[in-house]
Amino acid sequence: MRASDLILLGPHRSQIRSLLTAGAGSERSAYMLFGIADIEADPWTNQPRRRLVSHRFHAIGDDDLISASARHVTWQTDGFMRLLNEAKANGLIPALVHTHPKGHAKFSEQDNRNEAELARTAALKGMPGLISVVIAGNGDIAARIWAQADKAEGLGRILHVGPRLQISGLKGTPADFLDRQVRLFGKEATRQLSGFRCGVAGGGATGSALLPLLLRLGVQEAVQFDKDIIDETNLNRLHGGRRSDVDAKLPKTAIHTRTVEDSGLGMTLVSVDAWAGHPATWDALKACDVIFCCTDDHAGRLFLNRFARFYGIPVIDVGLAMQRRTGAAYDLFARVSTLVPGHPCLLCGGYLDPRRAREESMRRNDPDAYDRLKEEAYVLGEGDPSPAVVTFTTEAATMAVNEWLAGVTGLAGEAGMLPTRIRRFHARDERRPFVEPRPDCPCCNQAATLGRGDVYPFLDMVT
Amino acid sequence: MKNIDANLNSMFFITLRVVQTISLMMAKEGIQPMNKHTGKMTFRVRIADENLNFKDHAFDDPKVLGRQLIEAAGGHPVDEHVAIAILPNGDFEDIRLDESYDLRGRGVEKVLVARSDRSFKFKIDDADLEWPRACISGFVLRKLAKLPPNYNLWQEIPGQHDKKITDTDVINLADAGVERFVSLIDQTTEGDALPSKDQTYLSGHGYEFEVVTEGVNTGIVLKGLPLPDGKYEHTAADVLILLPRGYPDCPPDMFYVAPKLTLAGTGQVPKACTVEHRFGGRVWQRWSRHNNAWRPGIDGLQTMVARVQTALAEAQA
Ligand SMILES: [Zn+2]
Ligand SMILES: [Zn+2]
Repeated sequence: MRASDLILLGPHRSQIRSLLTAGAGSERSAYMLFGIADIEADPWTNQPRRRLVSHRFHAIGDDDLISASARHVTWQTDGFMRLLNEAKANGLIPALVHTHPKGHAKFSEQDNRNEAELARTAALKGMPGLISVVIAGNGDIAARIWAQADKAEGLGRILHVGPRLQISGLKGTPADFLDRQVRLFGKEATRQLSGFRCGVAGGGATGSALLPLLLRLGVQEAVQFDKDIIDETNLNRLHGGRRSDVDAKLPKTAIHTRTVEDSGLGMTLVSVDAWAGHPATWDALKACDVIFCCTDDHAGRLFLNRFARFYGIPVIDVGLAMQRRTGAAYDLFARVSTLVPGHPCLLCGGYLDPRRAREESMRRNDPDAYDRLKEEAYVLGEGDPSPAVVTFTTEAATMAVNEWLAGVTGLAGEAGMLPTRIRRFHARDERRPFVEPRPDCPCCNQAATLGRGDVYPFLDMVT
Repeated sequence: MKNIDANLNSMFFITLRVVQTISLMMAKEGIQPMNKHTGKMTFRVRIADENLNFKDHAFDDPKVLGRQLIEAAGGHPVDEHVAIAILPNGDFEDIRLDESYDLRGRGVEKVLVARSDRSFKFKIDDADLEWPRACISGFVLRKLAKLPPNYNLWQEIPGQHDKKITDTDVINLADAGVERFVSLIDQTTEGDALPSKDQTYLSGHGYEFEVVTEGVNTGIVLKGLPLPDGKYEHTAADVLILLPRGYPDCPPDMFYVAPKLTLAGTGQVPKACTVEHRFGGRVWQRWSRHNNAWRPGIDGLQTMVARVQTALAEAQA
């Protein structure tokens, strides 16, 4: 069986916690369904890997509760068969949840016996496994999966996703070079930062500034997505770029790989030679614990906007807008948005233009059709290249990484990451626009899409 | 596991579509009696050699003997050859030398004749196939598998990695362990299915539709959509909506109609409908109607169908 880990989304964690309150000192139980994210080849180990993403919480009604104490809970299991049928019909994995209000987040002998029986039924119904989650009174959570009826395997690594980000079950000591960082954030938070597997979509101005920041923060595993070759006009802002690289027509990813290797700081950086959203990138994206979206295209953003919802993997999106108005006035904006459950998506915020995304895809994939429509003036067209200055692109990258730090360490308070921050360089201030998710938005407000995992077609969209 | 299922699903889906298309083509060419200048009814059969080169042959009677088929193809001596009927769904069926085989009854229009004393069995995906000679080329294998261009064929080799088959590879089916070939969609040109919401909408409203992919483009064809009474010189037409990447978060743009519509009475082409567009082997009339108001999560094919119907109802020269 391929190695598994768990992604537990904020809303589901709250529902699991609510069982503690509901039980008021005695045990309670519930069901859940998990989406499947299968990775054919993990970018860092090249091994197949399965991630389980929390998709839905099913309360067990009071009528089904037979008896409960601080040491046990007994319930009627008709609902379990309905759960199995729903899981089977939708390609999901069923789960049991229960509380140990007085004990630890560890499975008991009694748990083992009960679950083995339910796991047997699940296996008979053709389930690839039965997940079990236990929460202790102190909020600690442990999970395991019964892939066979007689043997459960621990799911040690859990990625908790919400405005706060955390990976439980990480081991290891932070590298020595991180001493000064440990002095600020402490050992545990530094271990967390090193343990995140980071994706960087786009190796242009922002990506080239962002990747070295992850490197210095101690990130050990990263993957970059880009297809561009460096050109002369990139040299004003592409960190690591050299004039000789322009002559050698180096891919931007090769420049960043050189930066990472020269540092000798132990980061394994994998490069995927494609735009985020291309099928060749799906596997690697699914393997990430956080993805920084540093592309300047609407099509890639549109893809990652939906991806964050289906896989529960946080996406931190960076956007820049710079222009000179008539006279001496400037408009200089940097925006950072965090796509996690509970935050409005980029479509609802109006930060991406679906029509532009459509045109960009067409330009990339069917240039002839694009040119024809352009001749007929049916497309907006690219226009002149937009202005870009290194200080602003670099600061935008720093903002994005700091937002992630706020999520992991709580440096800006328990609330963690903000949905969107917009820095106005020309006004020397920062805005926090209020955005309301649209009713039924598939990318931030539909229960059916949250943590849905693998579906066909991919992301239930045309790709 | 789910992923593999999904891939299988997609293959199944695409394969099914191809099979449908082929049977459609067959129905058209068919083995319908041909009225030749003699006035006599004849039955046309295409007979192939081992390289799958087909030649037309005509028989007066739809019931033929295996030996007649072999003789027609010039196979000599007859009893060292074998005739295999290729059924419309792609399956093979042996025709014995003295068996009277009703081509019409089985819908057979293609027969394979090859020199052989035995045939070699193997599998492509889950389909059982046989080949009358020990050697087969990658090209012929692909033909037998009816693989769309964006699929590759892999040979399973026990205890080793699967081997990708190119057109010019020659495989000896008599070798031990040569039993199974597996088709795999090429990653870069993945086929597309319809988002679930649209699937539900179209089936729920009784639309007959087909998802067609050509190169990187995906389109949905609504079949035989009734047109407003007396408005056009046709009463029904097929409508094509091209779905951009990123759909349903991204809006579709224009729509396309086949056959080309002209207004009843005047025979004039409606306004902004003069451009032709080739897609999926057909020529479509482009209806340049633009509306970029699009609400992701709310709008879908039902929105586009409403737009199409409005445009068809309001069209003027
Ligand atoms: Zn327990
Ligand atoms: Zn939204």
